[in-house]
Amino acid sequence: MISITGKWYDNRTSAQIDAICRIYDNGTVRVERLKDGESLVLLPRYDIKASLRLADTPRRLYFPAGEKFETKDNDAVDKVMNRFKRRSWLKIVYHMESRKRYIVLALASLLLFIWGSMKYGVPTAAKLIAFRLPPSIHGIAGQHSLDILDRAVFSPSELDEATRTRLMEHFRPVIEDHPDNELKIVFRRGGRLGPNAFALPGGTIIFSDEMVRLAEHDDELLAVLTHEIGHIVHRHAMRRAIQDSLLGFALLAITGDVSGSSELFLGLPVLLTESAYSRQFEREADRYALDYLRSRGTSPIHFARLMRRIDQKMAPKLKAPGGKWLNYLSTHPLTEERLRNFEQ
Amino acid sequence: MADTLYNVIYRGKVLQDFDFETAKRNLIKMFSLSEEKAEKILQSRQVVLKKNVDESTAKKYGIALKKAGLDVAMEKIPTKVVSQEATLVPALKKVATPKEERKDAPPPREKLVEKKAGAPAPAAGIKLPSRIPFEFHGTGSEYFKIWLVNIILSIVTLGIYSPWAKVRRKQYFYGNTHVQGAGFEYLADPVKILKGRAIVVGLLIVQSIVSNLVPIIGGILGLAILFILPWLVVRSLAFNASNSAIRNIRFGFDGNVGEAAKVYVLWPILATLTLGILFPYVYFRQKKFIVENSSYGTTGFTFTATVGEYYGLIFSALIPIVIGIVFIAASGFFFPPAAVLVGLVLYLYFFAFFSVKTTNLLYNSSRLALHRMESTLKIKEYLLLVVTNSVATALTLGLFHPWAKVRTLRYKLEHLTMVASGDLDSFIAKEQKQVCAVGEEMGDFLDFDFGL
Repeated sequence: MISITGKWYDNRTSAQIDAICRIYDNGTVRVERLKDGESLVLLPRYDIKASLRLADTPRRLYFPAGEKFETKDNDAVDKVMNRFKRRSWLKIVYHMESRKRYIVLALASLLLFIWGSMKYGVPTAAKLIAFRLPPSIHGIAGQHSLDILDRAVFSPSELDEATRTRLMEHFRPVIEDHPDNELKIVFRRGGRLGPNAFALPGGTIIFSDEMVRLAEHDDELLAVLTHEIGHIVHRHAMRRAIQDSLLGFALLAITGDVSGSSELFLGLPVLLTESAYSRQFEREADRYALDYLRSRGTSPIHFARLMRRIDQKMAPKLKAPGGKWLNYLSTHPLTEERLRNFEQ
Repeated sequence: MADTLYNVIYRGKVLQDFDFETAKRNLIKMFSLSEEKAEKILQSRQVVLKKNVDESTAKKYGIALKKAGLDVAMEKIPTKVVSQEATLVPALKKVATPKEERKDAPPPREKLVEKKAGAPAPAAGIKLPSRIPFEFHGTGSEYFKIWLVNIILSIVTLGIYSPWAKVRRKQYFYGNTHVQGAGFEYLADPVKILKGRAIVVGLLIVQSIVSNLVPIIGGILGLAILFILPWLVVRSLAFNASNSAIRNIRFGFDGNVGEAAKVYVLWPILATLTLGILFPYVYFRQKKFIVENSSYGTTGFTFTATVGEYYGLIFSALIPIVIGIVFIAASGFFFPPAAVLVGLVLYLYFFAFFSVKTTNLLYNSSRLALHRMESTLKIKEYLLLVVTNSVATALTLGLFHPWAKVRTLRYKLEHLTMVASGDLDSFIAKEQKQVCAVGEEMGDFLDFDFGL
């Protein structure tokens, strides 16, 4: 016989009675009041169901007429379940939750899984999706981005007509080399973005006035152009958008419930991962620019020269508190390694 | 000693020939109750007025109460399973004999009442309400293990396990929440949740295919979602409520879809059109809708908050908001990167501010029969909790999440008390009715809840 102490609830009211549940070896189940031993229910044969074990939460025995016996004596209930062979495949879940080695194994495989999907899974999926999206969607996304940038930071270009025509003429052969990408060059005053260039989804490339003025040779701008074309050929802007949504989705799946914004900083790992993706994209665009410039016979050193000039111009401002640190270099992390590739 | 005992129960209705005011006046006079208390009794769906009395006494009370205009019933108590607790209205002991309670003979009754009122402190007969704390027994490390196994199994089964994971997570939090030695129970069937999710995913796929082929029909389908939203909200609340139980009695939600459409679609649209001036009102209506349509067994919840209190809450935030904006502007002027930090701190502050104020107001204004709740969260304490949780979660790349969740819930529950008037033994279970299965299954998807 197994005796379990707990609370008894009838099937009609919220009345709570301290009781003992006795389960005899022949399957008879008897619940009696703790105070005076009066019988509350008597089942001639074992006909009760038990809830699954979950940490140390109270266990329930469900009786056929809808009554319930609630107990904290989890071990006794397990004993009864074993005695009457009422096992559920879900028991294995409790087994996993309560063994240290499974927990360590689970943690290790989770970290491995997260690392694997961040490094390979998400970028690969985003790439597949981005290249399958119809061009019209890229075009719409690009137009939206340009509208937002125009409203938020840009103002109309102040470059004179002659400069623009000269540059467009200089860029023409490069653009003609990419007939499939629907390239479109636009000029804007960069404002607080300073000397900068952007590649939007759908083929739009923006040069800021500040960038054009800083260049000492048109081939420097042409080198930047090829780098931005690299972004467009590889669909980087769209891939970044897709990766961001996938990351958000993964985060939701892992935490189960991002309850409110109480854990604002859950975003930090996402931010770190994003900047890693961003560096990856820059490297890809560099590679494209290098290959293209070499095949065309233009020296890649122009790219490095313009970068170094931006670096020098921006460095003092960077050190000053509150300086404009939102420049080309912060979105395009400048590393010696990257520049040396262009200077070789 | 009488062998069979009875309860006299008010069935939530005033008899046909009486109006509410008359019944209230009679009740006040009969039991020397306060007006407020009499109103509460009459407004509840079911109250035990007299408990554990023998047959003849029960009949006497029955007749007297019917004459006062209340729809009452006698309920036989099956075994001698009775508590020593007296009644919800102990003042009943002093009531006059039923004969004197003639409706057509007001003068003698009034005299009698006067006499009673003069008797030594009738209020002394009323038992002081008892304070029953909510307890939470969960720990971060326990939940960490459950969380980890949930994630791994969901990944390995490509998401098929996720309904079981959800049920296990909710069962852990429910099962560790105790009131007077009884734990809450989450009873949702994972198979139903899985079916519901499959239906929703299926519909989304159909919708995206259709809108690709025939864009106009896709647009119409999108609009249709706006129309079924109120239905989904109601189903979701009903799903969560009817799968939550304590002391073997389930909660329930019985809101009307039309009303849901008003408070979740119509009013929010109007609030947007009025530039948000109506927003506190809309929020108030939503909370009222949820609370007043919720029930525990056959007993309904009531909501006593007023619109004014919700507007007051917003106004009390105005001064901190202005100070906050000044701070951001000032720090932005002197040292822009600091503005980001100040903004972040202010964001967390207002998050804590509104969580604490709205939670306290919601619980302090909710009544279950004569029992009420008391939530005493403090902004400072909650802010400290939110900040430490956020920093720790960031530093551990998210692994602290289970501890954060447990800490937050423990804090909230340890500051929640039930102020019970009388014992909690007399709630009555509702007949289980089979609700539309598809709705119940899809209800899980929105996860609307009473919210803690």
